[in-house]
Amino acid sequence: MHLSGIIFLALIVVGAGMLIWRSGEGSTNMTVSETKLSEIKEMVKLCSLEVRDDVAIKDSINGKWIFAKNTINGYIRFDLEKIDYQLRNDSVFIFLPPEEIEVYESSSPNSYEVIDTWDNTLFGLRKMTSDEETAIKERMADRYKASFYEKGYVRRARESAVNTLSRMLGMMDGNITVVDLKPEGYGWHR
Amino acid sequence: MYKTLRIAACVMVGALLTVSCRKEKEINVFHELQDVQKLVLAEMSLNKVGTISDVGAKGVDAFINGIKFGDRIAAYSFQTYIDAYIDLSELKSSDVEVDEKRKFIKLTLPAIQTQYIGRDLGVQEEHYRVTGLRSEITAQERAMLKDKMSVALKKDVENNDEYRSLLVKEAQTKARGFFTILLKEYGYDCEINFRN
Repeated sequence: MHLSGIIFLALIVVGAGMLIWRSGEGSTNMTVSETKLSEIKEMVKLCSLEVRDDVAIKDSINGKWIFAKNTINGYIRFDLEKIDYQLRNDSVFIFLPPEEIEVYESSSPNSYEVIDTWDNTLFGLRKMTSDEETAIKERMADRYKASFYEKGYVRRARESAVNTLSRMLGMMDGNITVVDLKPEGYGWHR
Repeated sequence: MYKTLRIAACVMVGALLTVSCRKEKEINVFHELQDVQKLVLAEMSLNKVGTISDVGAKGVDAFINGIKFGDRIAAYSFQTYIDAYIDLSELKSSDVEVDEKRKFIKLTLPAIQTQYIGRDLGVQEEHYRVTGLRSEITAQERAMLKDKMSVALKKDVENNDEYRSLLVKEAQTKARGFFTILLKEYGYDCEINFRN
């Protein structure tokens, strides 16, 4: 056989090998266990605002970068079991408790799509770990919560909560007044 | 010979292009803001564990995995949350009957509803073992697994009424307890029912 033929065959073998090796990533099996009930928590929380957003994440940790799209759900709630009240003569004054902002990833399909990841260090071969990815998402959630104050969502939610509580409690007793001592909210760094 | 080498080079470049080519994706920005009047009474957390592994592959995939050096296996978990609530916007003044003489209130609350509020932002790594020449688990794979787990979880909940009935029962108990204490403080006894 000619040398050129041998080189040609060798290149074909290497190329085919690379394709097989690469296609092997698709041969990874993903299995899912049965759903387990972890906990049922009782609560009495008034939810007055729900927000759903597509958020772009572009952030880095330890020199590793990620660019992704995340659909997240934000809720502003008030724990009615922490409600404070005062009796003055025949009237009851109820004080709206601090707001709680909760952020979750939507459980709808394609709520988290990773578009690109890369390592910006010298050799650039490391992959982002799940802990690093979680840390980046938590940073995003903190920024998202802070934006609720900047955009006036907290003010709006508190106003709405006062109206709802006044209406609900007013049906039972006409002498109840709901008071909001902090219409701008208590801040998420509490 | 040069001609042969040129053909071979084309084959290689073609193969490499197939390997390294990436699809560009478009991000659609979505935003929804809604004023609600939900009284959340109970929250259920459901756990799911998913694995990424070579074990269980069939046919050609199993053969490919067999010739690779090393193992590749990882397990992840996360929680999904479902809330039970009553929609206070459905509460009408006729739902509250006050008997001032007997100091008694009959309260008919709206029906308990449930909704998925979301899942954990991150995943918990339960196990990770990648050895030999195998590549590490990527963020893309974890995202795919998470999606698959969410779809399976919703199917499980849909096929088993027990999850919902447990949550609704818990929410009804909490609502009864809360309103009974609240009204007691104002000097009223009460009877609490739920609309269907």
